[in-house]
Amino acid sequence: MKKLVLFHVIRMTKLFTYAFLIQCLTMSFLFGHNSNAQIKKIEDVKIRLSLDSIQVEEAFSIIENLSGFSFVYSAKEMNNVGRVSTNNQTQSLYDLLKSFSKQTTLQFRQVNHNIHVRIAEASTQGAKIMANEWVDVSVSGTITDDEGSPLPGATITVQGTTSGTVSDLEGNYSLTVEEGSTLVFSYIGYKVQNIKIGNQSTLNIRLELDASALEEVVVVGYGEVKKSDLTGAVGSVNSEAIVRQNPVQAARALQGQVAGVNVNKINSRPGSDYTIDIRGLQSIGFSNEPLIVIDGVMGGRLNTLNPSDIASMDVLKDASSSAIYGARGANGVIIITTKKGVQGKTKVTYEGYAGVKTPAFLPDLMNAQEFYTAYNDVVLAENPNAQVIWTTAQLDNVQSGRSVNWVDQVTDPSLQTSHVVALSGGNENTTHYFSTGYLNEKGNVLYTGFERFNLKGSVDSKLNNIVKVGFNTYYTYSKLSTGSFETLRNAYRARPTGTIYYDDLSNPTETNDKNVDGYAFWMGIKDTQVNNPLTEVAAKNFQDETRVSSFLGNGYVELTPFEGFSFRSSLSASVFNSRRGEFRGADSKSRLNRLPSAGNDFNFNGSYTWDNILNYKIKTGLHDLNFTAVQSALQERFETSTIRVENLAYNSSFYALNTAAQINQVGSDLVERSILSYMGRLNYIFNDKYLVTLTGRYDGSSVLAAGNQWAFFPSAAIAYRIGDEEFIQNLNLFSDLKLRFSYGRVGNDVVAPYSTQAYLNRTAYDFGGNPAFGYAPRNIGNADLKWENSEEFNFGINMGFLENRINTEVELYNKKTNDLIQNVAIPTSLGFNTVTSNVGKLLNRGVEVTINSVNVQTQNFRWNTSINFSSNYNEILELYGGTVQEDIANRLFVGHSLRSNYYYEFDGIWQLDETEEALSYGQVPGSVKVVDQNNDGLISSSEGIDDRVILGNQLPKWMAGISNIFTYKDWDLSIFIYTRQGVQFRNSLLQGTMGDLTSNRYNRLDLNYWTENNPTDDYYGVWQNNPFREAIQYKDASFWRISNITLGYTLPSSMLNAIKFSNLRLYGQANNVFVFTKEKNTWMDPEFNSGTYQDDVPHSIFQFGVSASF
Amino acid sequence: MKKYNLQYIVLFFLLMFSGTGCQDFLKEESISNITTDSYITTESGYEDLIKSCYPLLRDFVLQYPIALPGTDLFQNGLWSVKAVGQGPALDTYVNITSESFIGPWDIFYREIGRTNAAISRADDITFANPATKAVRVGEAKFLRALSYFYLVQTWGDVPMPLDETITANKAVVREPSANIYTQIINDLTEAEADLPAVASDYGRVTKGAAQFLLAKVYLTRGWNFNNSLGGNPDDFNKALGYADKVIAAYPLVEDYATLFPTRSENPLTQYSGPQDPRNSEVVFAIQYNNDVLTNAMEGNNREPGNYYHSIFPGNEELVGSKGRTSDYNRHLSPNEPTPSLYRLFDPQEDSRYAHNFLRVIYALQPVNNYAYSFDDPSLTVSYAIGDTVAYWTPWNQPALGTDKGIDEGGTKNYAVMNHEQIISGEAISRLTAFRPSMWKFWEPNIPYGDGHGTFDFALFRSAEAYLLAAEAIVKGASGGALGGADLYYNKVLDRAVGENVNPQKAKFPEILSSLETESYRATPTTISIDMILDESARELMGEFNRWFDLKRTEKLIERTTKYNFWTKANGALSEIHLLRPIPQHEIDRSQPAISQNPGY
Repeated sequence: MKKLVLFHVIRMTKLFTYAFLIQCLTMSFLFGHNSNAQIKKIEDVKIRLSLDSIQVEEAFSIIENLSGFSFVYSAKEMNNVGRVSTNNQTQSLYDLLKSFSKQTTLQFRQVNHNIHVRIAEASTQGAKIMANEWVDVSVSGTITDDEGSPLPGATITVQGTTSGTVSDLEGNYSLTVEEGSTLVFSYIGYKVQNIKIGNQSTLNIRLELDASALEEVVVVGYGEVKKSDLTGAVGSVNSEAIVRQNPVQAARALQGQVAGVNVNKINSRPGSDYTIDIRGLQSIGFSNEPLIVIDGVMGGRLNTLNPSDIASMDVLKDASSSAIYGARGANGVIIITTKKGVQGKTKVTYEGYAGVKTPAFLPDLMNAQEFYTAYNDVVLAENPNAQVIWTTAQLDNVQSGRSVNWVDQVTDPSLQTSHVVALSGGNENTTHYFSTGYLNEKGNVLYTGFERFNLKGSVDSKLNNIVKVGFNTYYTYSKLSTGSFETLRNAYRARPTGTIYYDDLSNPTETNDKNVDGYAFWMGIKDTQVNNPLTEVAAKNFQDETRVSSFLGNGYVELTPFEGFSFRSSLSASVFNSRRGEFRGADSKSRLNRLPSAGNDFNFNGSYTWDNILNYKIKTGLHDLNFTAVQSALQERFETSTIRVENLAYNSSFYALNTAAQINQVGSDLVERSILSYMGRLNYIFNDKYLVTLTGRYDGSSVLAAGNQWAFFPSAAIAYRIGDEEFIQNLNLFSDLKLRFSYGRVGNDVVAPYSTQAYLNRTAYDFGGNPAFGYAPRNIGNADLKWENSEEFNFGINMGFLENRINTEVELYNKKTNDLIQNVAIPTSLGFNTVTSNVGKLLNRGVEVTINSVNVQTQNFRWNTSINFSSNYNEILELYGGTVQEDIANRLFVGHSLRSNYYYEFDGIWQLDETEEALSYGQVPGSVKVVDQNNDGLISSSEGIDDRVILGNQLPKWMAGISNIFTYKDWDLSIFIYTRQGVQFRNSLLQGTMGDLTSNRYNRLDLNYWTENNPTDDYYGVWQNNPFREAIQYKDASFWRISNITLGYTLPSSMLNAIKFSNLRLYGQANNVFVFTKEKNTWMDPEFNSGTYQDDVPHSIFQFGVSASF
Repeated sequence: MKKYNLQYIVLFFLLMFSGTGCQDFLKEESISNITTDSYITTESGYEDLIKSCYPLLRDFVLQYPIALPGTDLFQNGLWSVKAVGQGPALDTYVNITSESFIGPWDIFYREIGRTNAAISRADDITFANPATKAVRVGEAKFLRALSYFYLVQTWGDVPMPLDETITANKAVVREPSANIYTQIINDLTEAEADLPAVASDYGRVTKGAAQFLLAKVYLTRGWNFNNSLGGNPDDFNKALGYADKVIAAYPLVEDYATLFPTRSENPLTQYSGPQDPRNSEVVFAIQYNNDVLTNAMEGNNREPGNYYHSIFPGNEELVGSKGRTSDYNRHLSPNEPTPSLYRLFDPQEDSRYAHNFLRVIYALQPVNNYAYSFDDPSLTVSYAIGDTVAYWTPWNQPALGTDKGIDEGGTKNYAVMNHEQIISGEAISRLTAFRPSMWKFWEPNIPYGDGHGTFDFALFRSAEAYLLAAEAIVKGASGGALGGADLYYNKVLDRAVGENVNPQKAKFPEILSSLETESYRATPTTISIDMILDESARELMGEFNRWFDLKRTEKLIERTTKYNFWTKANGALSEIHLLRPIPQHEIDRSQPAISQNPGY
């Protein structure tokens, strides 16, 4: 029997991992055999054994060992059949089974080497043993998937019985069945097919994908469960959804895919990372990033992975799910499972795409003529004595209608391309998976780009029935070139009245211009704050390059000494090395005629985790127990070293720091932290209807104060599959209904290590030229620092309608965080700015709705929609032990959300007919008017008469992702829409010089500004003093984005066979093609309040891709 | 099969608990950092703590917005005729917010935090030589007193922590100014007793420094701002007494120029030799040097070194200049001399005029056919290297007719700027140069930009002690070693103009068209607070003192409203501005919130 289990061997399909796990865990166990060896009759097999009231399954197992026959039965059916006994006498197997049959309600039937077992119907009880009594037909054939690839491990059962078989490695099967019976062909993830057997002897079956069944198994940390057995809140993204948008970073694939997960860009530069927070912010001032677990390795970095190597991402959202990771899981957990090898013929897949990234949605700047006019609003209308800023070169440009769009000059559409080749295969004992990937993402800003190389390898091997070993390694090498941090800002600042090329300047001496590679360094402008963006962007003038070499490895031994019990010891190591080099040439803005400067930063992060996992499963009767215990130790170290030099003799980039005339900075640092944990989890299922999960974790963290290091975090969850109850089924409304409730406590220790003690900083001075280095107190140590902890309740409902064509999942949660750890701003009269403390209570409460529906399904056409919606409410419940209601310095207000914007409320622009009132506030027409909230005739921020109010919040009120997928014959079309609503940012562009109309130095946004002849309330006048200018900068940043449109074509199998491919799909796609926001001309990208400093421009991407396997 | 596997399991369990089960795994010990408690336990550790009390002095003098602009001497140079309701808040005193004052508040209290740590920990440290320890504690006390002195002058009643901050506490109390003065005087008196006349290392605090500060503190308390400082007339006697001690110990140098970096007016023949900031007149100087590792600044992303060469107006962008080089200083507008400041000098007789103002700019690169007219592109001028491109006439000798530049119908092929033009802000042509560089602290051969200066900044020098003494006598002190106030005053003047010379300043500095003059040599009958302030302007301009001097002498409103373009146009400067607004963040952070100064 055990050997036969191994015939659940299958070749790689995208769904294999799910399939295998589901088969092991959830399906009726079916064991088949198709060998044609000499077959004995059960009457001829003599057996001698003694059994004393044991479970029938156990009895079967013993008989299998003795006789060589295999029993085929449904494990589920055997739950209630009772026990069997026999005395110690020699008898034929036939007689023995007959005896069993009398003791139970079972009937047996021999089919070749198999003995099929099932519960007899009442009418037939008594006549229970049959052997080859029917007119049998031998049926054989091949089972293939929708792409025509053989499906190993597909199950074939005879309808109404538990007899059947499974397909072999080539997808072949054969079995003998009674004529006229119906065969059921099934494979997880595919639609079931029923075929009635006439006298056919060959029956080739092609199974069709069943999209609704895709997300059936969920990885929950140190184990997996069927989705239907879940008790907590877990969201999953499968590999297809991950690669659909061809994201450079895996994090992007999560955006809008899982309700409750907020994924944000950090900037628009190539290769840049994303921030992720799950179910609102839990922490003030410290990381809200969830724990990333990559193939069991905690603390991995998402952006070292190639998205196409990922098989699934599972997000553990509620406390009962994340409790298994204790302290590390306080902000939620994202479990990444990379692809693994599957048994079967070696399969090679190729996925590649190439496309262009074009700058898009850029705000308008003034052109030369508009800028000139705006300037003259000052010169002519307001202040005839103002200093003249126009040079002849600029006036010439203005008058002849020339204007330079500097942003356009330093950006270009750029290439983005990726290629991945993967190879998988194996035999029944050992499987392997190897992949190699290359990605090249150029930035839109010239000379910037990101390149990444990935190598992945994994091998799993079963040494014998007891010992299984395996390893998984992941190596990444990447190179990120971002160029000068000033480039884009320079381009936004540079006046449009400038001149690009030196030779075009009629009189370069007017501006003391210099010729740098043909460019006019000062652009013919008499201002030396901004140099020509085209010189700044040039790689020879400025380089900023980060190379990363990272390795993630995991090896394990798993012992399964007896059925149901396993012990796994796993050692993981991760290394992340990076070198950031910076070179500033003599013609860069920051050097200006000085010799070049350069510097290097080296980071070495290493960590290891040792997990020992014990698992015991037992199933008796209606009780299904699964116990997991984990002991885990994690140690991380972060080493840095840095050097900065200047006055390099020649342009040696950052590779000859030794040639510098001067060393400015040398430093190195080491930070270590460790966590030790003991964890236990019990899953209990009663009668497949009532589910309970209990988890407890005891964590010790090095970064907390001695005495407060250890804490226990318990959680419990229950679920009720109420849909299985008759009274629900009788409603004929739900095809599935499950209620879930969970409670858990998790802890958080995300403080900077070494916060519990006061440390020293070295200071530098000299006495008469002699060095006088000193040591000054650096921080206030907090010897009381303890765990931040959260309590979370989660209530979830899963509902299926119309035979699960519509699937809905609703989650409600309430999470209260106590003893918040924060770097609290303290009165600076203490000599310090902040102290790390446990200061308050915070609430996150929200709702998440996920709906998947098959809207239309016909023979050739199918339309699926997935919607996920989430809304989180955040509130500060208490600050500093309840002593205060507001902490304005830290922008914390009891009763309000974190990240509140607090300032005077914008009330338009002072108009000419309000001159007198304006003057009473010390203001003049054209300047920003703010609301005098208490009407005391004074705009004040003083205690008691503070006119500042909470204006809005930087956290979204709600967000949603909507996917529509249409398939028509071999064509598929998908459209993904993403939105985030209710966000208010203090707009970066308006904060910068681009929004400051009072300065004539730099170009600005083309805004509708106030003049005496244009009495608008949109934007203030160009010359007024604006003490409350900030009020105009708070802008609504809600947006809708059509994030992705993909049109694909899969070649039909007839064509594929001709070219020897098993699968070939071609597609074209457009990413980020439409963005809708309320505010005009103030955003670069509302997703992250982008500015121009150290950034790139937002873009749309158009690409073409191929995925093929053979 | 169950049996033999149990051995493995037992083995693994053993490994699992033996390997990681101990508490050491969680013990936090930083290798790259050292705790205060473990390091400040020995003599050398304590010495290092004291050394850390000095570097923030470099940040002190960078807080010039509290000392220079918004006074009779410095103002923002970006003019506008619509000066009412707009303009730089520090000069207009309209809509003045606490934001400009966050920097100094934080810096002074950071320094107090360090000195408090040093003073609090002194008892637990044993020195081989107890006298050395007393000196070190004296240094800390002096630096603490200095910080409190700036704080109390700027904000009045302020928090007064005196112990090391070990735990955070949001309760903040504003201590009455009188108590702060008492504390300052206690600290300084104790320091003065323990400090040596000559420090073991040049640059450390000396007895003289404590005496100088005592003179100034007593003088300030004697004026007794709003009757809130606990002062009495005897304070002036004490001020005079300490000033005399300083004067006796720190003789004036002969030439004013030797107090500052050596340089040449013409960059083409620039001085490139060594600089020596040390001299007999310096009582206490903030140290700078040419080693980037020790010429550092603590603030975020701050350029290292002395900034004072670049915080005053320069002329980097005139025609024929090399652009952004340090040849003609960096142009920053907040600290431009007020138009009246030039008129306090006798340009011909007073050597300090030439030292403070650069009057000629030379072409440093050739210029061909430069179209200088706004209207007629055919009017051009060319320059060879070394040609004059701009010249500012002295205020009392404006150029006329053919002596003007070609852009104004004259014969000079460069801009000739008269004093009135300097301040009008009106560009006549592309040759127009606005204000002469204020190049008192200008240092050659350092990189362009902020910072990098290597020359010490003299916070106290004895020339000021003469003026403090003169002021004390005017306020009623008696028994000065030199005699009357005029004698102290003239001692300073004599160095600049020579004995028996009667230098002439504008009689009405605020009326720019008036060429009327008057002598500024003092006599027993003419000596006055205003005369002393004028002399202090000439002698000490830009030396981080003006706002405090004007406030102390109750002349801030009168003189600033008279001489500062912005203040005059707005007429908003009033009594409330004699105290600066408490930084909003301190109010926001304190629980319960401390009060703001009235009027803000």
